[in-house]
Amino acid sequence: MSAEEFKTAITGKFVVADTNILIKAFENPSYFKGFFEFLIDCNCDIANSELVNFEFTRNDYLPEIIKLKEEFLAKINATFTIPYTNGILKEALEIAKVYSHQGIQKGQISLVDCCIAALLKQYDKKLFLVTLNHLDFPISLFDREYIFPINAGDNVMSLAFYRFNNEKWQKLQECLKKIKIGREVT
Amino acid sequence: MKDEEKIIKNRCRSILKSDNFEREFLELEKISEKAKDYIKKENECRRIQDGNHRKICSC
Repeated sequence: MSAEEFKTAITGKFVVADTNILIKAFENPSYFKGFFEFLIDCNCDIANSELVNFEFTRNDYLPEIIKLKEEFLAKINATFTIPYTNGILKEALEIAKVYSHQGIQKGQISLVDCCIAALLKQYDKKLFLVTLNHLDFPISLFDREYIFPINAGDNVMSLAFYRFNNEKWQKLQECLKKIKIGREVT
Repeated sequence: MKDEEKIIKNRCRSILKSDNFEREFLELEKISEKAKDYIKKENECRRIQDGNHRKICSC
């Protein structure tokens, strides 16, 4: 997808910034200035996600740091919070089953990432994810819509925007339904 | 307040919807710098505490 096509696709929608992005942006905002400008150009918003916020602050105990992180989140997130419903964990488990069937290593994809995948599934028309951890959102289930590179001193970061693909999901569900012990019926 | 108005109001609080991105971005950088200072002080404090601990304890 070209930059222009992507901008059209994401205009007016929300994007969840994965924890790894928040951590890097908190450490070095200057690397992310162009990224924020790109989002402004796309006319989209960063959705507030309690799951990501949990991961972002879970290792902090100093009140001063926690307060600064809250200020940081308040500055970059829209106050719109992705509704977290009771069904999310159940959906996350279904997604984890698909990952397991695909041979993704046990525990490689965390509970939080499975829950984020479930949220992306639930709001697939309105919600994108941007992350640095590409293995956690496999393209067998997600579409990698756009890659945004960041020149970060000695390193280059590749931020990718993902969207849940419900067609891929349906196909994988059909495949799972046909499974019998010992072999898969085609 | 209608839902649509609420969404617009909420979006206005984000740096992405600010009238002055440059100013807001500077604020982000200040937040980051403050955090670095606190972490540096905390690490220094821990290092001293660990050093003192080693002096008085054989564990």
